[in-house]
Amino acid sequence: MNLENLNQFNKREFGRLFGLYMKRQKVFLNFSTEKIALDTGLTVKDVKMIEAGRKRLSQSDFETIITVMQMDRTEILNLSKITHVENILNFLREIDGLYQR
Amino acid sequence: MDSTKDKKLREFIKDVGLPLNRASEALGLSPMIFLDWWSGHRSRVIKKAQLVQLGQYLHINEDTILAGTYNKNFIRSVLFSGDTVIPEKYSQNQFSYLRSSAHIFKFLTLKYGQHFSDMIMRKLNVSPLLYSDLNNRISLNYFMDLLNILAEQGFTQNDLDQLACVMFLSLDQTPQMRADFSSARNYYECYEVVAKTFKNLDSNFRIHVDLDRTQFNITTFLDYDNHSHIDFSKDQIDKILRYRLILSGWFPYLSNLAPIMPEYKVQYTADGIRCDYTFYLPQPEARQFHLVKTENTTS
Repeated sequence: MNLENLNQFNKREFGRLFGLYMKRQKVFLNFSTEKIALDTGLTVKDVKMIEAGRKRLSQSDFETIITVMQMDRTEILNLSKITHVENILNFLREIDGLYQR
Repeated sequence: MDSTKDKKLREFIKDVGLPLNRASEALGLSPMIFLDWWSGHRSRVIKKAQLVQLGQYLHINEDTILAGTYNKNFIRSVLFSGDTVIPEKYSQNQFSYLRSSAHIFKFLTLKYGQHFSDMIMRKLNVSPLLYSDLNNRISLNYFMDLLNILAEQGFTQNDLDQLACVMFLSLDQTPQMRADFSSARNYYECYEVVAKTFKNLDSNFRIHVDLDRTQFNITTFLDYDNHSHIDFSKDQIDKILRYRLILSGWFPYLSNLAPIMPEYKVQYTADGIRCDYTFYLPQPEARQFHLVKTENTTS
């Protein structure tokens, strides 16, 4: 999965949604932050920052996290689509009076 | 069916705690025949059809029953936490399929976290297991309350509009619908799918559709007589109609096409509310707009 394509519509929002998904997986898999840090090679601080959507990810870290956290790629694509929808809606609101009602 | 299989089925019924007063229905047998079999007075009652019926009743693969590989917790959740938890307000006039709002809870979970979507369900007094079977039906009141509760939680009109645009989130749970929309190559084919599947979303509105290569017309009618349970205040109805208007324009997104907005007209008549939507279908080349850029596609 190409991170640049996924977060092309809104990097910050995609990062936030990805962090939330990571938190859900952490609970689902019963992982600790320390275990995630150990398995991904990131620091505990970085893991917490990513979960909070406050750290920009590199492509390799992104792939590693997906693998370690057993994340569903379709779900990640859905996160990107949510940011896409927001983009389109903002665009339509600007050009279409219907959305101004 | 041999006695070993009978024995396994008895063990299954005891293990999952299937109440005997529901077992005959679950197996598709009359209560008399079931009790005769259960008490050992009758054999050769349980055939393949009974296991298939039981599997459907419990929403599981029937092969897992005799193999012993079933998920006991899931079965118990179906048996004891299912429809009975729906408040009476939502169990009257159940004309909406749950699949028509499944994407909203998926969206709330993805965007605001599991805690938030669970909290909304608690406020609606429904179980988080409500969406385990999207074929279940529910009253339109449920959807109205859902929008109201989200508004109370601080959702702006823009946020509520977005709920109508994320139907793609629940397509995984409706594979046939996903396949139909995915295979649509233009707006005409997409709205052809819509015309076919509209009845699978809700039946609150009487619907008439008219589709040709350039235009798609839908007329919906919500009659007062069959919906006396609904709050027909203008504020409530406006919310529903606005949601449906935006939803109708976002079906093309399921086919990787740009959304379009219809011309529409609402008429409050003596016996109900009539809405006319007219979609002017863009030319096929318009599908190049707004495609999601992935590794395999370019926009």
